[in-house]
Formats: sequence, C-alpha cells, structure tokens
Amino acid sequence: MTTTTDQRVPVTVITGFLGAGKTTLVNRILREEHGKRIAVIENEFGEVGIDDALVLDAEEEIFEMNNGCICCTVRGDLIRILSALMRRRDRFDQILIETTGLADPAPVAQTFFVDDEIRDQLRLDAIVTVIDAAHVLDHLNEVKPEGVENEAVEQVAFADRMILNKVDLVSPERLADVEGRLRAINVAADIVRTENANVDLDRILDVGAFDLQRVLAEDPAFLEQSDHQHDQSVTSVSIQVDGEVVVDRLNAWLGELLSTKGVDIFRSKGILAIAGEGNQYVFQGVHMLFDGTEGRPWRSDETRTNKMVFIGRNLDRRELETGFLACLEPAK
Amino acid sequence: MSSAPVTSRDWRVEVDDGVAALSAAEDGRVAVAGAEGSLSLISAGGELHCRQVVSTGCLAAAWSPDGNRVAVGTVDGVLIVDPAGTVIAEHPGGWCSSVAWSPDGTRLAAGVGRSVVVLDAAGTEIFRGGRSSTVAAVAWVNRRVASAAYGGVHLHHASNTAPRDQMPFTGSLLALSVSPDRKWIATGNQDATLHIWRLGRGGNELSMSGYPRKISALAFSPDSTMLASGGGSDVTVWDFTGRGPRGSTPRVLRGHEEAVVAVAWSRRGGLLAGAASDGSVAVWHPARARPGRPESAIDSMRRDSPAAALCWDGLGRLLVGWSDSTVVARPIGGAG
Repeated sequence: MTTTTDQRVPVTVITGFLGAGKTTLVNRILREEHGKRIAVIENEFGEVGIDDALVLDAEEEIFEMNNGCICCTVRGDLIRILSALMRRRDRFDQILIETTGLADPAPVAQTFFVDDEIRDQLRLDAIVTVIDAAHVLDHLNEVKPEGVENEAVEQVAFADRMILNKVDLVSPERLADVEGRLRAINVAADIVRTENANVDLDRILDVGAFDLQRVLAEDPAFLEQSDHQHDQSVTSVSIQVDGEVVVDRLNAWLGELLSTKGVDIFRSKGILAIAGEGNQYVFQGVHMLFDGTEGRPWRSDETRTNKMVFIGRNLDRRELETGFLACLEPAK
Repeated sequence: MSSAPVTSRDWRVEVDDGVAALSAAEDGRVAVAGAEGSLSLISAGGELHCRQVVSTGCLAAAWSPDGNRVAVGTVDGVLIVDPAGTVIAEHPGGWCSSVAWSPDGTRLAAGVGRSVVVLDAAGTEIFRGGRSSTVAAVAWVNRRVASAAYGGVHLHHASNTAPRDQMPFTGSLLALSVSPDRKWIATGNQDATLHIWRLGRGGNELSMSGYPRKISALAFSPDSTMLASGGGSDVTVWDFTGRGPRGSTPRVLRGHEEAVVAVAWSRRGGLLAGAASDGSVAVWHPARARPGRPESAIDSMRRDSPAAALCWDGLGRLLVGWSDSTVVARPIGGAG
C-alpha cells in the first residue's frame, strides 16, 4: 500500500445505447478547451478527428481467461491497443474508450484488473453511461430470452457516472420515473442531467470514481434503499455501519462472497475503517475480481463509518449485512 | 535527429520515435520501427540514412535473409520496403504485430488482423487463411506457417486447398517460437503460462505455470536445446535436450528488476540478451548457468526509459532500442 499520488493515466469508459449520445459526448470532450492530450479508442465509427487527439478504431474481441481458480472475460482488442499506446513517447493525459451500444461493460472493466502491463500504467477512472431519457425505460423493460442479458440494465448497473441525456425531450414526471428506476438499479452512481450531452467535463474526467470518496461520502442517495429484500432484477444494496473492520475476516468474507456470488454481483465498492489503520481502505470489484488500496487518512473529527455498496442480481440484503457485521470488532 | 558514433562498430542513434521493433541484417544494417509510425534505416556504421513515417504506429520489423527487403508490420497492415526505404508493396487491412520471412527468403508471412497472409518476394499475396481473432504471432515451420491467436496455434500449408492442423488452447496467446529443428512449438500466454507442443506427435504437449506475469518474450536457441522466456523480471530457460523439459528445473537468468519485454539469442547461440521495462538490458551465457541457481549477467546496459526491442547482427553486435527513441549497437565479446 502506498500514499504517493497515482501517476497512472486515467481511462474513462463511455458506454450507452446507440443513439443515447455517446459520440456527441466524445466529440464534446475532444473539442473543449481543456489543454489535455487525449487518445480515443472507438469500437464503432464516430465522426471525430481533432488535432492533439489520437483516434484508434478497434473491433471488440472478447477473450475468456482462466485466471487461477476463476474464469473471467477480458477485451483482447483493448489489451493490444492500450499496450501499443503505452509504447509511444507522447504521454496522454486521458484515454477514452467508447464502446458499442450493445457492449457488455464487464470484460472492459475486468481488463484493467487482469492485464499486468495495463494495471501498472493505466487506471480505470470511471465508467460513464450515457442514457437517453426518452427511451431508456423501454430498453430497461425489454424482456430478453432466458440466459440473455439486458445490455441496457448492465450498462446502468456498471456505471460510476450516469449522463441522463435528452432531458429536454421528456416531461418532469417522466424524468422522475426514469431517475427512480436508474437509482433502483444503481444507487452508487452520480446522475448528471444533460441536454445534447452538454456536461461539465470535471464531472466525468479524472474524477477518481473508483476511489469513491465523493460518491460514497457525500451522496445522500447512497442511504436510500429499494424496498426489495430479495429480487431477481438488478438492484443495489448499500451498507453503512460504524466500527472497526478485522482485515482477516473481511478478506475471508469478501473472497468467499465474490467467488460464490460473483456472477450475480456486477459491482462492489467500499470505503472501510480497518482496525489499527489511520487511512481509509478503499476497495472496488467487478464480478469476481476485486482490488483494494489505501485511501486518504481518517480525519480526527470524523466518525469511522464503513460504507459499502453491491450492485447485482438476486442480492440478499440481510445476508450481506450479516456477513459484513461479522467482520467487525465487537463494540467496546 | 542526431547521431553520436563513437566508432563504426559501437554507436548510438536517436530515431525521433519510441522504438517498437528492431531488425538487423547479417551485415549490420538496422531497421527500426517506431511506435508513432516511423521507419528508420541505419547503416552498419551507425549512419541514419533514411527516416520516413509509414503509419500511425509500427509494431514489427524484419530484414529478409538476403538483406534486400525489410518487412514492417503496422497497426494497419504490412508493407515491404527496399534497402533505400522505397515502398515495394503495401497490404493494409488490420493489426500486424508479427512478420516472418521464410528461411529461403522467398516468402513473407504476416498476421494481418484476423488473417494469416503469405506474400511472395515481389509482395504479391499468394495465401490468406482466416482466424477467429487477431493474429498475435507467426513463424515458419518448413514450408508451413504457424499462427498464434486467441484459441490456439494453427499450422497453415500456405495453399488454399490443404487443411490446416490445429493445436487448440483455451486462452490468449501472445508470443510464438518454433525450435529450429522443427520438433517443438512454444507459446507465451496472457494467463502467465508457457505452452509447448511436440510437432508431429499428436497429444504430446505440456504447460509451464508459475510465471509472475504474462509471457510476451520467447525464443528457442539456434541449436534448439534451450527455450528462453520472459514472464516476470527473470529470464527462465528450459532445457530441450533429450526428451524435453517435462519435470525439469529451468535455468534462471537474473539482471532485470521489471518485466522482461524481449529476449534474443546471438546468431551462434552462445549468448542470450534480455530487455526489460525498467530500461535494463542484460547479456548472459546460459549454458554456464546451473538449474535452480540464478545466474548473473556477463554484460549489461541501462537507460532511464523502458527498453523495447533487441536483436543481434551477424557481426557479433547487440542492437537495442528504447522507448525514448535511442538505438544502440554494441559489440559483445564471445558473440558472433
């Protein structure tokens, strides 16, 4: 664990259904005067071509990896292209990956856990999902055949930031319905309302969404819970409890949980107070893979509150709570 | 651009591009493929006589055995140039990270996107075989072409009628080496394993695990007795004398602190060089190493930038390229 500043280049993944406004957002990022040198990896043809930006095309290649005892999928095209990008002398300040409308975000995110060269040099900063306010409910409600994932639900579940676009095309009531539905799936991601994908770039670029500090620390929505106790559909379960975490118990519990339920748990994130540690412990996971780092120091005037969120299918809130509480030191 | 030749045998040249790949002709001429798309041609004495941008990114380079052509793999296909740098043939169509001339120099094999392409010396396409994912590496096995990609190694007969042999593997293959005696095919894999097939013996294959990182550097020695592999900060050398490396303890060559990115045997095979992402380059005498006991380098170099590529020429010199655009030629005693 280290407290030095992360020198790795941030990578923003932009997902969203066809027509939601992904390309508009990418063009906006490239045209804005931010002085950053940006490389874009596109999985479908977009109309970009801007000075100081390198645009690379990639065709999605999903590789199944036998990673020790677990199986996961990664994106072979991204490993190849990102590796070549890192050999250039011109350092990029930011890398954008624009996926296709039907892409599964899991292999993209897992690539950043699995490939050692990418892990060393790049940091997955945030998964930004662009959502068409007028059509998203139709996509979310679409009934898929048994065993086929609803990509719109996955893209919402995986998001660290949701760009709720085209809000000018729907009524305030409809917008409230949409936001409620998005929140029921993913309680941890910030929702940013936009017209024409016009968003303050500070809210989506180099936001450290994976360090979760702001989202989990400040967002009151985090405490809102859906009514479902045990739900077939994709939901979020958040846990907030004061106390000191015993690290061995945490590792045993999380390891067991993610290896047995990791298929259904799309994302997991947390900021924890480890017994005897002055710094926060920040972890985040994608399906069965998870990674923890040391966060900022706990302030002396701050309660050592553990915050966690799980996003996935068939989540059992009680089981998750009981499991986590057993990781805490007995109260003194 | 500047060059600082010390002597005609020992020189350093800046190519104004991060080095992606290097190839030396027998007589010491050097082709340097740059990560930002340049191709530089350097004389044996260290004069940079031709530099041109041929792509938005180069990935591979290879001099033909007769020294009359250079093949270059880029992010968008393969091209062939003559020794003056004039483009003779161009085949766009996808990612090309591997090019290989047949031993007699009459054919060029290349992975281009999800295809294995074979060109004749004039650059005319004479064979194309499809793979279901992007080809990572190609190599010749007599008159056949081996290709490594996600899903395994295929052996193509380079004629459109003959069926290919398939050696399936569940996972992503990154590097490929065929023993010069054509008995073995080895691949370095994304899942940090080495996989080895005995050619012509169905079902005879073995897998080596325990590497700390993915294996992207791999090379059989010219006499086929040793296989050098990256996959961490050490170079691991497996013994292929007798019945092969099954159950054996490998030699371990030490000299790097970070991931090994390239290994290359001197032309006669006495020395092995390794390059790593910490900028270090080391040279060992592998036959002197004892299995299980880490062996130190007999020579080394270092720059404050990742080393990216290395090769030997026919004059006993080691050529090294770094990501900061530096290329060095250095005579190494005992090579040749």
